[in-house]
Amino acid sequence: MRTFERMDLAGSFMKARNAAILAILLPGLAYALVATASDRLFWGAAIPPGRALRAALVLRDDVTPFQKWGSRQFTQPYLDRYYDAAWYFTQSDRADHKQEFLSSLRNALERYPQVDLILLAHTNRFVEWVAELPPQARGQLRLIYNTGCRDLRQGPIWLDLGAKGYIGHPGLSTSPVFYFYFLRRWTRGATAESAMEESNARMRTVLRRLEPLTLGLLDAERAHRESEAYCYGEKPLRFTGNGI
Amino acid sequence: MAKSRCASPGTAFRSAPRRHLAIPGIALLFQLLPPVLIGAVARAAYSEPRLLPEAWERPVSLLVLGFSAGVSFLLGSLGAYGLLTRSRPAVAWGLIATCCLPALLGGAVYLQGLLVFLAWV
Repeated sequence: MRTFERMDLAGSFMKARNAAILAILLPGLAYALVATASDRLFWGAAIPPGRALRAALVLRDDVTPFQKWGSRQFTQPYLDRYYDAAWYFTQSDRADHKQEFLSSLRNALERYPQVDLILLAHTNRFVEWVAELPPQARGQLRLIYNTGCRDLRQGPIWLDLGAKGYIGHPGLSTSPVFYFYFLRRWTRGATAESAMEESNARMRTVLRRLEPLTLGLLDAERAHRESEAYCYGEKPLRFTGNGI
Repeated sequence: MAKSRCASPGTAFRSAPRRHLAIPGIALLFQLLPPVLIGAVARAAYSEPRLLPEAWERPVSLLVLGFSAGVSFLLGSLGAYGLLTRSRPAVAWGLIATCCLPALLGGAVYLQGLLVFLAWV
């Protein structure tokens, strides 16, 4: 034991000062690596003008507690920071929160000229809920983002209901990846189209990186083809409301 | 007094190598804790009936992420420092790569999660 300890100490190869510098730098290097791999940083991003005109509603469907938790923790700060008013609903079953949702939506549409809807739900028919509101009350609907698989086809229906724009996915989508990038860009003032295109590109990169790790289970190109978001409606649709 | 002075360094000499080898292992083992804590917070917040009040969900979540990032960074850095100053190069780099770097990367993930959840980055 003693022999081993002596060898171990005698073999130390770095001075304490240099080791301390390296030990302090290592967390920074690790963070730089992770931050670079995840997304560009938006340090000190200003709140785009017109916050007082914006409201948003988010509906999360009944998924695992972890997914519910992650969706809310990620979304809530963007709602709080970039919208004047926001409502977040987490369902416990398919019909959960219908009345509260419609009541809050009506309230938002009466008070705000730009109301965004974010539907964090598997293939869904929330469009039928919103259709229950009288047509004159739906005029302030702005962007609808729907994570639901194959719900891109709802685009024309949402536009008929009065929405200015609709973004959805055509197939079995990896929408959580897209949503992570999209919300961060849309709320920082990008147009819906540019936020969508950049998020599609980022999602493709993530899928390509994941492909070798899944040992062939994931076909990145196919997953991207099915997940690639498309936009219906007015272009450019901007978060600040300019350019509509 | 003189006797105790003589005895003290010997004791330190025996325990110090163990400590500098143990910290990287603890840093790696600690990485098991954050997923458990996050899972517990999520279950407490979204189980029926709800165990974690809605008002507490966000502060507790941020606290868990901050704690996980801080402890991961601290253990990863301390482990690396101990290895760099007290071990042979092969041992040091081997343990840094297998224990300290995963801990540091875990800490970075939790820090990035915290900053994103605060909408700061």
